[in-house]
Amino acid sequence: MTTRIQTDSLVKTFSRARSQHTTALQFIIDQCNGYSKGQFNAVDQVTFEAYQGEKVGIIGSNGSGKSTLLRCLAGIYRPNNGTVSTQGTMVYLNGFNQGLNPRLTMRDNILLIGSLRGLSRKTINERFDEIVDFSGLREYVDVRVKDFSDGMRMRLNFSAGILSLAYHDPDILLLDEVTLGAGGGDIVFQEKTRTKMRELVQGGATVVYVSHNLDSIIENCDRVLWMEKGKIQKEGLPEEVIDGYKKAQIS
Amino acid sequence: MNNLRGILELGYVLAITQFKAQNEGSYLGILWYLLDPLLLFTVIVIARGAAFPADSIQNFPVYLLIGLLLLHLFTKTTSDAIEVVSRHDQFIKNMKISYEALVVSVVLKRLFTHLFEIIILAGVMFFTGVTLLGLILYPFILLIFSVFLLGISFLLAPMGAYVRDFANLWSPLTRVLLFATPVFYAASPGTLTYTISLFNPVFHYMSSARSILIEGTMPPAVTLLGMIGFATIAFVVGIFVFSRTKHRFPELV
Repeated sequence: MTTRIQTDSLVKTFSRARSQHTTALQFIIDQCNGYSKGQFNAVDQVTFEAYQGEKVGIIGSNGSGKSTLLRCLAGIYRPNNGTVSTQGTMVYLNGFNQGLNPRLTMRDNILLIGSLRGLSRKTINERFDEIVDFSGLREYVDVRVKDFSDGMRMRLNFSAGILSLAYHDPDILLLDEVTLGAGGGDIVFQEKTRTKMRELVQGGATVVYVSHNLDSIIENCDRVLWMEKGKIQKEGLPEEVIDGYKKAQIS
Repeated sequence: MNNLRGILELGYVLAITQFKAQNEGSYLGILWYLLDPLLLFTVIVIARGAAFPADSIQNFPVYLLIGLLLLHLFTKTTSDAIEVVSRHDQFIKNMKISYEALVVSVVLKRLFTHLFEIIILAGVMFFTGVTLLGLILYPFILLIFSVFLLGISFLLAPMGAYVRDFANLWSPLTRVLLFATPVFYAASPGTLTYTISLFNPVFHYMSSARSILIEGTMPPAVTLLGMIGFATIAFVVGIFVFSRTKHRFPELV
């Protein structure tokens, strides 16, 4: 079985004191101090593998390191120690709220979101009608998004985002708190989003799925990692790991 | 090669969409960007006319406007570059995108605006009796200047990301540059002003543009070398610094 993701003793360190970029004076002080003050491991010695087609869920309390681990896998964060290796095309998805510019028309926003998701202008033009039809907002194509309702914005964002991602036909899908079920909107659109997400997740890609929705984890995952304080607390079958996680949360 | 194409393509889309968003789909919005250099141009032309009626600079209005527009392009591009990482924090933290494309978009967006400035420059040239033929060669100067701007932007973007108040340090420096660069005064070869100006990168682009547009001659060799030299150094150093520092952007925003 092909190994798609492999991490070995992965460590990602952050500074408690400097969550944001700093002022000129503080920068000089930090340089003199070597950034050593108040550091902690958001991901600490994490070793795991995910195989082709496997669906791996990651659960844990807030601040346990789930999203940081996913960003390390995606290549957004560079690990401080240990290794990450991935094989195949990869897509990282952290919701469908990024990229939309309310001052632009729907047409321009589709171009923007598609480009941010790695599509060429030629491909976006080819898929433009499909995206518009999926959203059901054809008559608003040249209307600025600031005049859209929240539901219409959600429809546009999801349609442009999901169809752009589907185009890549990824071998690895990293999902951070993405709703695999109903994503909002009316009942018809909810059903469309549910079907589209299922197609993407069940399409044979290796999926790493971070979520607090334990029912969704049980429904969609073959294996679960439970993380606490940056470390893997437990790993195994979904029901078994989630049962242990729930007991720990109650106690 | 595919990677370079992807960077340029995303950079172009970001530039064009930001340009449209800033102007709310109306190209009249461009007038607001042009207001700054044009206002300064008007004030200096009037003030200089009153103080030095017998001016030695040939075609002073065109000479001044070229200086102001190129300096305006430099200051606006570099100011945007300093803020480019923090402005795109959501993309950087939540998407796997090319950070180089963000810097490319900064330069392209400002070049779009500069195209409108060139139209105004052409108008002033026409009304002051300067031939418009020089504008044919101006894109070559602009191309080399763009490489310089790209290099400087690659250098400044990490500084803005790592140091929050870097924009506050940069802003007075660009204001000093208005007076430290021969924008509204001459720098003839052999003078101290000229010697000092040789170390100022913007001077070389300004001087070359003036040679081509006003005098209709090729820029002197020292200016040509200065243009290419500063562009090469800025680009190489900028890319080096950017590639060494960009991995921490998601943690800084």
